[in-house]
Amino acid sequence: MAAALKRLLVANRGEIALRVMRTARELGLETVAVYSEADRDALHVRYADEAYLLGPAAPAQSYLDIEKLIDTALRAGADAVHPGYGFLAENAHFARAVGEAGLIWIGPHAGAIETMGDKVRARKAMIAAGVPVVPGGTEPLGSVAEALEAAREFGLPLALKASGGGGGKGLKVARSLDEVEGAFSTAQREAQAYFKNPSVYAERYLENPKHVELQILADKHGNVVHVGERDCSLQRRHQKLYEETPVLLADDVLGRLREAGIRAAKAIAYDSVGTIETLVSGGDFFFLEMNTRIQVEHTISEMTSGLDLIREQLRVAAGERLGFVQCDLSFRGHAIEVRVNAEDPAQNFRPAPGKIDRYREPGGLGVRVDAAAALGSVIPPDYDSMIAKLIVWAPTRDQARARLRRAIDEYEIGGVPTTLPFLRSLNDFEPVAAGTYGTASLETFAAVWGPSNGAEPALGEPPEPGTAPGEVLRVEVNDKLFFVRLIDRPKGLDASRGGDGRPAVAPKPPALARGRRAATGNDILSPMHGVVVELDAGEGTEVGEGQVVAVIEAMKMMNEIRAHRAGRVAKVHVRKGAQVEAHGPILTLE
Amino acid sequence: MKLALDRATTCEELAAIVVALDAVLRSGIPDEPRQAPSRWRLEGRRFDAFDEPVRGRWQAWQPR
Repeated sequence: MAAALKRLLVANRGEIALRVMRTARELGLETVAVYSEADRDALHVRYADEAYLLGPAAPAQSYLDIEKLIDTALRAGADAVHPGYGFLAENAHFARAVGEAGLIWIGPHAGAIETMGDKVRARKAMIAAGVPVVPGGTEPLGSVAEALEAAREFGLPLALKASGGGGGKGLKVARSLDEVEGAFSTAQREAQAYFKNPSVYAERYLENPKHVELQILADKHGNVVHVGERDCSLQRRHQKLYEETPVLLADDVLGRLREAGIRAAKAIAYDSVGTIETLVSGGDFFFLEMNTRIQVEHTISEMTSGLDLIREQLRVAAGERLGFVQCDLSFRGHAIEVRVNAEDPAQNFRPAPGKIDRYREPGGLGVRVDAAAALGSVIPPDYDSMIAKLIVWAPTRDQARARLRRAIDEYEIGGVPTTLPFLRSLNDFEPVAAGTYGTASLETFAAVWGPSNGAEPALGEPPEPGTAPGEVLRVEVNDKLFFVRLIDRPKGLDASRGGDGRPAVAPKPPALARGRRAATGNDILSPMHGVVVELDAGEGTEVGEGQVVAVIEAMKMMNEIRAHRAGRVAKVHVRKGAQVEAHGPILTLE
Repeated sequence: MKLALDRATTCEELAAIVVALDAVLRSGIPDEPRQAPSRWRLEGRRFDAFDEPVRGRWQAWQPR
């Protein structure tokens, strides 16, 4: 490691903060953590050599506060800042501010971030570099009329996308000309809400293509290599859930994609780790966007290449040369990553912040868990819902899928619902088993998946508080041990009272203790804790059944709240920008 | 009674498990291994799904 790097501040939280610090420690660097008031007990805070409080939980007052982060880095004596992913990782202003403060920015130069961060500029740059792009315009659309013209020129379905967007935010699809106006205005509204920039552009929306991305690694001396592709097609609400490498595509397609990806990186003098995202349809691929940061799913490329991408990222940021060329790299075996999120897949993936009251990670050959969770960890409602990334490696794809199934079965998380049961089913979904899935496949699967066909809680999990069924008992029969989950019991067999009338087990809290509450018939309730970002009904107004009356932002997801019946609004209980508790009233109808 | 098991079992073992659960649910779930009260001894209990009476030694408890 170049002598310039001695003390690294990680301007992030969660698993990626821990991930970066682990490599930093291996390199002999001292680590500095930052945290918000919601993260006082987080693992990354305990892991770092030093930790500094940034402020309240709201990201704008903590992990997004550039001035505070720079001040903290200087105060801590750090000489470099790693942004992780999310938050300020693709913020050119932050990258510049770090450099101007005399610190090393662990990422690409700010010009590359700017070019690739603006989708319109990125498309222009890629066209200039001869990289194929999806049919569409590169100019922001100024009106509904222009959006309709784009639909006629590029064809339907048409994607309307925020120029400054990413991760599916500010993306709307119009499948007919009638839908263009609504999609255009919604995309503009989301673009303004998320990115403070209502600029929207249009391109053809490809039906069920594969989302294939190329891992790029480049230094400041013009050397660029790729570290293989990843298939990230399995997404929900445009958030990836299941990623694998290598990709099941023809060699000639992969060859062309690799050449184009390296050409794209060279065109903007790229000098860090980054990812070229493409859509593959048939034998064609189209540039989607470039992520100018480390990706969540970088882990699977590490598993097949043997490279530590954070180590390489730190080295090149310090000015070192890559020290190897493309033919020095080889890829071995197959790796899969799944995202373990605190979401309830049985409730339309509703974010489920809470406290983890039981936690046991899987282990064994070829299993890696990048987590920031432990027993007693609290998943706050203020950030994204990811608890951990579960990564497996095996010599073949079939073995990797079998290993993933085994590892999911071993993974025990209690206290919050997680995506684990859904991921286990998804792993066995026929298009996944065959490798023929595309970006629309997961939504198709999610629509038919339900608790009755795979979401049964794992046997090792404790009973739900407040519910008698679901208790786990140990039973030995002729010295052979069984764990038995009681799902339903015959009437008259009440565990809370023994046969002699004495209480046999501690009284259970009532079911309401978990906060579940049905609508009264007049009240429209918030299904989760969050912030009211849209309120579309006032007192005295009429709402129709199914009409969106509010939008609640929780764990970085927008959740539309719809009226369960038609009626006149008698009372509005919340205001725009205010927090609302889970099951708190939003509106009362007459 | 509806239940889920963590591993494969024979019909006879399953019958014994059902008996065990039936017994502990009636007498109260213990948190230490406990055998059924004598009135729930296995001899003679039969289940529709099984022809053979359940025999042998069993105990049940709730993990702490």
